[in-house]
Amino acid sequence: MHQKLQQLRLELATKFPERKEVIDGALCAILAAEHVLLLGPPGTAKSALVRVLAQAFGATYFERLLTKFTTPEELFGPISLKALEQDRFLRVTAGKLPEAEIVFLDEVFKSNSAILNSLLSLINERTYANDGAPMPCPLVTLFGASNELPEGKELEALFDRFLVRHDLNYLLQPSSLRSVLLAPDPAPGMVMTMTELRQAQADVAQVRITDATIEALIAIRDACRTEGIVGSDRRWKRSLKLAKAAAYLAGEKETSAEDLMILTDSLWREPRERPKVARLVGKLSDPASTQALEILDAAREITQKTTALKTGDRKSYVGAAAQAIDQFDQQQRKLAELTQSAGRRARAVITDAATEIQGMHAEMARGVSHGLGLRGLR
Amino acid sequence: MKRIIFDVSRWSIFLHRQARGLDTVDTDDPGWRQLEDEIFEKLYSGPPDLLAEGERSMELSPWAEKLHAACDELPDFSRLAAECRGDADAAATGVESIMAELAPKMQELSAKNESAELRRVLRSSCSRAAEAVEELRDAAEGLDGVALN
Repeated sequence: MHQKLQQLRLELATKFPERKEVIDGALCAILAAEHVLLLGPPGTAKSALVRVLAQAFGATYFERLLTKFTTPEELFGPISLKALEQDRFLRVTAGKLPEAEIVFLDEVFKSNSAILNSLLSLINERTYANDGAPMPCPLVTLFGASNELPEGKELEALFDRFLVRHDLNYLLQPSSLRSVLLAPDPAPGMVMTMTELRQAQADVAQVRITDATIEALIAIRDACRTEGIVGSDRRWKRSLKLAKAAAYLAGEKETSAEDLMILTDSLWREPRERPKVARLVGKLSDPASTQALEILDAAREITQKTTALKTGDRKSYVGAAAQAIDQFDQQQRKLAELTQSAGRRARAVITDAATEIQGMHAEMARGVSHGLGLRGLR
Repeated sequence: MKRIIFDVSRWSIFLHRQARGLDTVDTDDPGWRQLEDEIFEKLYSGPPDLLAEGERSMELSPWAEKLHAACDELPDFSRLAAECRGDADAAATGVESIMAELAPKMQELSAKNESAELRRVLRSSCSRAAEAVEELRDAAEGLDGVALN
């Protein structure tokens, strides 16, 4: 099961470049039966990723774009006329949200009060009150997408239900965009069945939480509190489910402090808080991975700044690109040094970072040779 | 990355923090830490890009501008920068020495608003920093000849 999940993880990472953290977060959420919020502008592959995930598990899938005027019928099904003849207010839920295992609700914070209560109890308790009787729902994970943070107390409750939150942006690297432009629509097909997924979820529940993990979690909570990032006790408790899922995904039978890295995308309330949370969580749970990610961020910034010069003066672009190449070299050397002190999972993060920087390096080198008029020369 | 008045590269900040064993960068770093990042960038890779007026720290930029201007005018600082260019450990040592002299007098200097006094303190801190960099290089050279098992 673990191998199948790893295979899916790799396939998704190839099909969705620059989305590794989102893929890991989504897989952990599915394994922990938690819900995911994807923030970001339209066209950042949010719905495509969720659709592919649903296909990969052969899950019953439901998706809908919410507006202020979305009616309960659109989400929960039409009223049964036959039942109405008998004075019963029963909805026909076939093919609708109450019968779906994976759900994608775009513009989720456009939910209006007519649907919000039912939606909240469905997300929370996985039941839907149909004609007054609670109907059990097979929902595994609900993915909500939005371009903006919610406003108002009613929506705050909905926001809090998303244990995993990712902030997506447009692709940074030209090579990533190229691969997305040229590749056919992503469709990996079924990788594992829902029965297997349910078994994997049961296995995740059996993952042992170590004392070291608890200690690290408490330290993270204290550090976050000092910085004004406060989560509810419920959120901290549920976050352990994510840590167990992360351990399972890494092939472990017990958690370690490293597994708490997943909390980076669980604790922030606004995207601008994320770097701070990442720093606090990383420092206490996995310093080597944190440094690797910092190096990667630095490399991305270099790429962004240098690429911005491409449309201007050729001489300054070539100069900046040559400097960038030198810095990519230094960064790769630093990553190699880091590997020596890294744990098994941190090594994977370092390898990923090194691969991405190598890609930027190659891209930049191509840009320089083009700028110098060496294109086509060998 | 936005600091007080300069846009300092994340890579320089990483090298600075790593060389001194400091916490990783944060947008809400205290002002003196941001100032250190800016001085490091000047020593390590040369003058960074100025932030647009609106992006600068309203509270700290008048003082930081004055301090950076004083650094730019001082031949001692230029000599130190030439020594440290491209060497993260040397630049970090330089920053540490400058700040060790400057920090205790920072409040007094900013209240007095006296450029001559600021230049005097900076000159002395640059000369201390140059000595520290030289000592660092000597130590590194010495350690090169020692096999650590």
